[in-house]
Amino acid sequence: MNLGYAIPESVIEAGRFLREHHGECAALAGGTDLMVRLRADAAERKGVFWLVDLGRIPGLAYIRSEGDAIRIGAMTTHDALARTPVIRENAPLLAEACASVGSPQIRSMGTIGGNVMNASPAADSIPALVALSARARLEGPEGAREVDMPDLFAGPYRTRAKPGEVLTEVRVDALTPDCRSAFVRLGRREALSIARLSVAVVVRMDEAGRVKGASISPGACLPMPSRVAAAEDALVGRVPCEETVGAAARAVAEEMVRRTGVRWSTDYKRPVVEALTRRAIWKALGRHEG
Amino acid sequence: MLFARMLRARLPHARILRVDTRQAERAPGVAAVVTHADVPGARAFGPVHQDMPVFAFAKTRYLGDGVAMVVAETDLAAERALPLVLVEYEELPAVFDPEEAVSKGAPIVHDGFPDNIANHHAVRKGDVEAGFRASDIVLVREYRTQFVEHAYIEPEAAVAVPNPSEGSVTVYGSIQNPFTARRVVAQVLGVSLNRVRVIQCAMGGSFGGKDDAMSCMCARAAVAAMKTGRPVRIVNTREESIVESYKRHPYVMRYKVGATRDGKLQAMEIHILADAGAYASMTPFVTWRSAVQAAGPYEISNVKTDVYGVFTNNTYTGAMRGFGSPQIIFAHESLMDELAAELGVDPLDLRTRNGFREGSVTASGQVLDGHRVSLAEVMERAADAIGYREKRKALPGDAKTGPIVRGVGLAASYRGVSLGAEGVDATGAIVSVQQDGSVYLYAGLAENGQGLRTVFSQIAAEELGCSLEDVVFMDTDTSLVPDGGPTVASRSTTMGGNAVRDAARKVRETLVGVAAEMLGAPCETIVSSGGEMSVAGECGRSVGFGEVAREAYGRGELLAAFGWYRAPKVSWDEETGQGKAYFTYVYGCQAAEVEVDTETGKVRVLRVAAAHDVGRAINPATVEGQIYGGVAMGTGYGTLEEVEIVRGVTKTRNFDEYLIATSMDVPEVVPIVVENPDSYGPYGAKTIGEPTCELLAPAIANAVCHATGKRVRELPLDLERVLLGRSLKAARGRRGSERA
Repeated sequence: MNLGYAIPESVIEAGRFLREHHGECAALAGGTDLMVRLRADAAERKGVFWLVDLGRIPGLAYIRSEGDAIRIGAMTTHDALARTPVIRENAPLLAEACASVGSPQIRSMGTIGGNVMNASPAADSIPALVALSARARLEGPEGAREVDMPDLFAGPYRTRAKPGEVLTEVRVDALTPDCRSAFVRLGRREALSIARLSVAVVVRMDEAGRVKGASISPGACLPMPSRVAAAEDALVGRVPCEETVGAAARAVAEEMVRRTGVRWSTDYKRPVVEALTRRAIWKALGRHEG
Repeated sequence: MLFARMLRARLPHARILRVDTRQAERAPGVAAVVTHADVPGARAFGPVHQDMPVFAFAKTRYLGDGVAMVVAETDLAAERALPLVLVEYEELPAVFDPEEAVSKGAPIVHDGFPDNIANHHAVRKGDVEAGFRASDIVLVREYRTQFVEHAYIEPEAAVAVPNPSEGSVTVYGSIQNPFTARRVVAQVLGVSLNRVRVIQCAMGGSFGGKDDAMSCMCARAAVAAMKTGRPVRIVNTREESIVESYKRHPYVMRYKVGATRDGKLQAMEIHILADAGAYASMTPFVTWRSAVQAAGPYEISNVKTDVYGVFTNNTYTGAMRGFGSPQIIFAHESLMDELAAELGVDPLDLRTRNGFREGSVTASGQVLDGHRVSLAEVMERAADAIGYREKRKALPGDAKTGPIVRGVGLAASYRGVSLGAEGVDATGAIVSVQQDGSVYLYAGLAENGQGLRTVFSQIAAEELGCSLEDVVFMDTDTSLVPDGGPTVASRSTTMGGNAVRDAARKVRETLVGVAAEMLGAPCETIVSSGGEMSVAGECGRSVGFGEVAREAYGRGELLAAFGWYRAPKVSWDEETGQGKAYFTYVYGCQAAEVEVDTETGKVRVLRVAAAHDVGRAINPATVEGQIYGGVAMGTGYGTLEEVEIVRGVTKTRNFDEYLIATSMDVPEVVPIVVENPDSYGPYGAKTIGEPTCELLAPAIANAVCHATGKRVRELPLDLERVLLGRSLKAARGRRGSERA
C-alpha cells in the first residue's frame, strides 16, 4: 500500500495540508503509536493515504518557564520531559508519567503532542496533564485557540480539534510549594507495556495539614480523561487519614463503573483502581504504601 | 529474483470450492500465482501424519493455511495482487476447544480421525486403584497451560534457486533442521533427495520453531522456483509468522495423586488433552515425551497416564523448547506443593522423600542406572542458593507490612536426553585438516543460536590438539554431510559432539603417525595440544601442528574423516508405555523468589537459582548462557506470555501485544552448573538447552502460593489470574483457573 509523506515547514502549511486532505491523512508526531497502528492491518488504515510529519516543523520542541506557567512545545519528547529540571521540579508527576512511557527508544521518538492527540485512554501523559489542569493550544487555518485539557477529548482516540488544527503547545502552571503530587502506574511488565491503569494526583495542603485542593485523574479506565470530583471532594477540607483517602479511592472506582458500566474487565479494574488511587494519594503525601 | 506473498485462509474451517487466479496473474509485475495445482509431488507433508498441505486444497483447517501464493517482480507487486486471487469457500462448523473436540457431535477436522484424536500415548505401571486404596489422602487437581509463541529474532525466510538443467533446487533459509526441510522439499517436488540442496543461513533463534513451518516455506519457494525457473524469495512479516507458525501446546491436565499420611506417594493417575490445532505436526512426539515424564522425578509404584493429541481449528502446535515437558512439569510440580500443603510437610521434604535416586524405577519401568541420579543434589543446591529453608519458614502474610508480599518456591524435573525411543538417533560430522593446519568442520546438526559451533569447534580442537582459532565451522549444507537427523531434543552436544570427536580422532591418528616419524618417537608417546605435537614428558621435542599437517599433506595422507555416533539402544512398548525410554537423563531444579502485589496481582520474579546437572560443561559460559536464556523464557511462560486465539483468530500478532519478558522483567539469575560426568556423552557432557526452560513456571506458581496462600492452576500468572484467580480476557470462553 502506498503512503504519501508530507513535510510541512510551518504550522500554517501543515494546517492547510491537513484540512485539504481531511479524512485521508494522519499527523505524524513521533509515530510511536501511529506507525504501529498503520502496520496492524490494511483495514485499520481507515483511509489514511498521507502522513503529515509535524516533527520537522522548526520550533515546536521546547520547554519554557514563563512566570508561573510552563510552556511545552508539542513536539517535545517524553524523554526531554522526563529529564528537564523545570518539569521535574515544578510538575514532577508529568516527568514521572513521561518517564514511564514504553522504552528509551519510544521516549526518544514519542512526543507529548502525539500522546495527547492520539487520545488513547491508556496514554501516560494525559492523566498527569489533566491533574495539572493543563491547557492545549490549537492552531489552525481559522486561527489559534486554547482548550482546557479534558475538553480537548471527544472519546477514545478522538479529539475535538477541527480539520486542519494542530496542537502546538501544552501549558501547565508550576505547582506551588504547598502542592504535593504523584503518578502511579500499573503495566503488565516492567517496560514496553501499555498502562493497565494509572492515577495522577495533585493535592494542595494548608498549614494545618488539611487538604486545600485536590485534583485526581485516573488513566486507562474512563472513556474520556477527566478529574473525578467526588474523589477530590472526599479529601478537601480534611486531614488525610485512612478513612478519607479510602473514600476518595472508592469514589474513583465508583466513577469508573458509573461511566463505563460493568464490563469484562470491571471485576479486575474496580478493586485495582481503588488501590492505586489510595497509593497515589499517600505517595503524593509522602507516605509510601507498598 | 522473484518475491512471493501468501494468501491465507479467510475461514478457519471451510471447504474450498474454487480458487480463481486469472485476475491476479494478469496484475502488473506478477510472474505466477501458485496453488496446490502446481505441486508436482506430495501435496501434504508431516513428520508422522502427512496431513499438512503445502497449499491448502479441498479444505482450510486454520487461518494460517496458505491457499495461494503470488509471485512477482517486487514484494509490493505481489502484495497488491493478493486481493485479486478469488477464493470461494463453504464455511464448515469449526471447533476451537480440545475438550469440545473430543465430545460427541463435534465438527471433524480431519477425515479418518472421527473423534479428533490425533494420537494417544498410555503408560501403565502397577495398579492405580489399589494405590489409591492404600492412600490416606487423594487429591484431584486440574492444571491448564496456554499457547506460546517461540518469538525468535527473525521471522521465517527462504530463497529457492532452481537449477533447471539438473532438475534440482537449492534452498537457503532460516532453517532449524536442513535435512527435514530437504526431505519435505523433495517429497513436494517429487524428486529424489539428491536433487535438493538445503543450506542453512545464520540464525538468530529457533527454539524448536523453524522446523515444520520452515519446511513448508521452503517447499512453497521451491515449487514457485521450479514453476517460474527463477529464484524465489519468501519472507514472513512478524504478523504472518505469529499467525501461521506453530505454537507450544496448551494442555488440559487432570492429575489424581494418592499418598500415605507419612508422605509416601502411592499412585498417580494422569489424563491430558493437548491441543494439536489443525495438523498433527510434532504432536505425537511432543505428547510422547509428556507421557514418559508426566509423573515427574518420583518413585511411584502405580501410574496410569493417558495423553491425547487433539485436532482443533486453532493454530497448529509443535516443537518448542521443552517439547511437552513445560506443561506437565507445571502440573506435577504444582501438585507436589499442593500435596505437601495437605500433608502439612515442606514441599522440598516431600520431593526428597519420593524423589529418584540410584536404581529408582521410572513410571515407564526403566531402572535409573549407569548415570548419577542427581535429583537430590540439584534440589539442595538450588534451595540453598535461594535461601529456601529460612524463607520458607515464613507463612503467607507473615511480617506483612503492606500489600507487597514475598515467597519462595521450587520445581524439579528429570529429562530424557536426546530423542530416546522417538526415532532414529544418530548423527555425523566431517573434520578436514588443511595443509597449513587449519581445519574445516562440518556437522549434520546445525547452529541455531545455541552455541553449537563453539562447542563442536572446541571438541575438534581438543581432540586434534590444534588451537580453537584454527577451526572454522561451516554452514550446514545437506549436500556435504550425511543426514544426521534434526537439531532438536537438546541432542547436539551429546550426539554431535561424539560424532565430531570420532572424526577428529581419525584424523589425529594420521597426524600422530607423521609427527612420530618427524620426532623420531613411537606413536603412543605423541601428545598434541595447543597447536603443538610433542613427545610426552620431553620438553623441547615438539613440532607445530601446522608443520605436521604440511608434512602429512606432502606425503599424500588423507587428512579428512567422517565421524559418526549412534545412540545406545532404547526401547518402548506403545501398548503399556513401558520400556527404556531414554539412554540417560538429566536432573534440574529451579527455585524462585517472588514479590506479589496483593492489590494488583502483579508478580515480580526477583531471583532464580537454577541448578542443572549437565554431566560436564564443555563450555561453562555457554552453559550459563543457556540457563539465563531458559530462565528469561520461563519468566515469560510463567507470568506474561499467551497467544490469544479467539475462534481461530490470532489476536496477539506482534510484540506490542504478545508480551515477552524484557530485560527489566528478567530476574537475577544464579546459575548452578552441576557436573556428574555421563558415560555416553563426549567428556561426560549431557544436555542443557531445554531443561532450563521447563522449570520456572511451576517454581513461580509455588512461590506465589507461598507468598499469598493462593494457588493458581493456569498459566500465565498474569494480573487477573493472580488477583481474581481467573483470566479476564474476553477471549477465554470456558477457560479459567482456581476451579478445584
